[in-house]
Amino acid sequence: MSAVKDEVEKANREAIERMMESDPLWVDMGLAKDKLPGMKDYMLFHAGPPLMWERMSGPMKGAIIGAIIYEGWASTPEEAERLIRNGDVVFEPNHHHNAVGPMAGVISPSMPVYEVYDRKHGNRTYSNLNEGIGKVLRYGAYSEEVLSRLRWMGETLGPVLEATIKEIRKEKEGVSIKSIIAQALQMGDDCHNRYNAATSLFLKEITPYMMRTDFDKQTLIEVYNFLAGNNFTMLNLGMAAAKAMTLAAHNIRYSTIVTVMSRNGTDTGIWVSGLGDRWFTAPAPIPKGVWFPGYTDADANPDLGDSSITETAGFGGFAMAAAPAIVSWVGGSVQLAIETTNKMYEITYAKHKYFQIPYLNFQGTPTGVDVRKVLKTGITPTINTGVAHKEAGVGQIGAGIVSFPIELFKSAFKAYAEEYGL
Amino acid sequence: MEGRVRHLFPNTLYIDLGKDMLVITKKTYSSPISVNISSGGVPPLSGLVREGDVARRVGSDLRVGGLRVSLDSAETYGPHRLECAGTRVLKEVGGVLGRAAFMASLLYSVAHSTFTITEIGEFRDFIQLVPVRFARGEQDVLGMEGAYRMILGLGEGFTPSGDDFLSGFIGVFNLFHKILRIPRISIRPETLFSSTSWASAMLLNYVQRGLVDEPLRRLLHGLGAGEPDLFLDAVLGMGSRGHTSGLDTALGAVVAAASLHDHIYRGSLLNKVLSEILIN
Repeated sequence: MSAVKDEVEKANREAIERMMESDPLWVDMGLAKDKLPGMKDYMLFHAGPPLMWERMSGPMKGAIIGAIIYEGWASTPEEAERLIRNGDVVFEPNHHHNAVGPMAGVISPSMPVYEVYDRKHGNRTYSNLNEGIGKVLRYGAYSEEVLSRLRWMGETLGPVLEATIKEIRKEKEGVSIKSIIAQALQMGDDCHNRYNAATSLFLKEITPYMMRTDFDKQTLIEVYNFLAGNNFTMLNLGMAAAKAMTLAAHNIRYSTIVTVMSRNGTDTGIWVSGLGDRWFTAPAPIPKGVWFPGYTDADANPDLGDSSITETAGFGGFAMAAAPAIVSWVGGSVQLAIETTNKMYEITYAKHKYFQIPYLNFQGTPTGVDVRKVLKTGITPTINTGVAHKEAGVGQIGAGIVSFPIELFKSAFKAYAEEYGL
Repeated sequence: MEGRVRHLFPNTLYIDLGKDMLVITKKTYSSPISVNISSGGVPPLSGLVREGDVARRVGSDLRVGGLRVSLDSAETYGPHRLECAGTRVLKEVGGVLGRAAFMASLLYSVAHSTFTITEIGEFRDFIQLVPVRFARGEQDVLGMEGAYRMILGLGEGFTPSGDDFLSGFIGVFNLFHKILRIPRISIRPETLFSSTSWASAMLLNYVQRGLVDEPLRRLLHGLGAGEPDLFLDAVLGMGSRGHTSGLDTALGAVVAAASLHDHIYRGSLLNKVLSEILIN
């Protein structure tokens, strides 16, 4: 009988190979209720591990209320809360449905979603559309300005993108998100908190097809301006792609590779490949941030969002050395960005074959957090993140850097020993 | 109080006080023999102090080369009394000892070591000579100084792996010696100092006198209180210490606890633990 550590090595090699060889393409658009497996009426998906209303943070509550009003299930926040307290709305984590969403990550049945297809492994993953920065639903804001933008996204942006991808599909299988990420990492993006290059590359690829759709010129200009005016346009697609990559590495017996890292504003949670869909959770930390004028860390909510799926897949904060300009957004120095990437090599299984960092002599990005290495070194994954105000309805107040708590990895490893120990 | 700097690292220095050792460190490392100084604003200690420099207490200051440490504001730690709630705790924690060994063995596999202590012949011989025979009921083996000499100084590092293993092993055995009325393990200083480095011998000498640092104290506390979760957390907490120092110490504690368990309850826990560490 071979030793367990040989089984672990074999499993981890397989997991990482599958993660790196995953080839996610944007292939379709549609409403969440038509696309997301398991999505039903009066059901909302959210970021992070499972969470009851009573334990939700301000921004998560704000986003939930906003989504309920957007769906027309209630017309005021009070009505929405009554509905929730009556138990009429079901909450489930995005990750239970192969979906991801930044910050609160709330996806409701009538929201348009991207569909991403991993042509190597056959998995499909999903994400909602990016609203921009500032007062937006994902940061817990639900004013009329936020809701009318969401309605425009549902009525105009979604259909235009759907028509665009249909035009693209006439010529090819879809838009390769992996290729865009690989290029953008060499153009100064980290592909979590900086998507400037990726968004430009995406628009360069899709705009000719968008022009071929039947929408009138004014609508197309409006849509183009919205997409081009928001450097985070590509974030949600990048996240859906990262979900496809990590999903390919999930559920491999004996593997100690982390396949989900996420936060819901109250708890952080991880999945480990060899332990299936079991959440290991710990309280969410507050990021160290750069604050928008008028705000301080006292206003900050604990970390939230599924966007740390990017680091799970080997980019984002792990590729900070590729994105020196990001420090103006998340704080710190260029040296810190380089040190962060170098530290992440100590807790990951491999260097990515396709995602490379020019400044580090084109080394592959640190890929595949290994629970064993986190515990052996005491170094925990560092991610770049946006910061939401702790009160519902305010929105984004900054951006920063945060590390996942070591307790997550301790409890996961204890469970691993219970599962695989003699 | 007067001594000399015996070992010097960028963040830590070891002062020889004759019969005692004092550690001054910029790390957040709590131990009854260490003085922790703030890491902010203090240049590397190796730039302020040289090996052989005199260390002297002047009033409430400790002066070492170009370094002045105010003992009033530096962090120091008193020794903790190590408690053991009874032999039943071995049964309570016994259920997780195999798991603890399994975890340690998987953490060794990512330690970038050319070899680990479990692969060394002398270590395996020691295991057969002391813990295995004790588990079978032979109490005398605890006093076999020759057996300890086999692994003292064994392995690489500032504190060799064999010494680290013995720290955990002796720490656990001595936690139970009164309750079980078994001999307290006490290796003679001359054996210690002739078998391993000065600093490592000093540290081991403190351990056998019951003076342990915080990570080992936490582990002994988890065991002594019969709290399996605290014990496992402490084992995992030691994983990141040094190259393999923490793991070696944790392993020593786990082997000792399994040996004690089998000695009392006539079980086969030690076999289970050994199969985890020797096969994996």
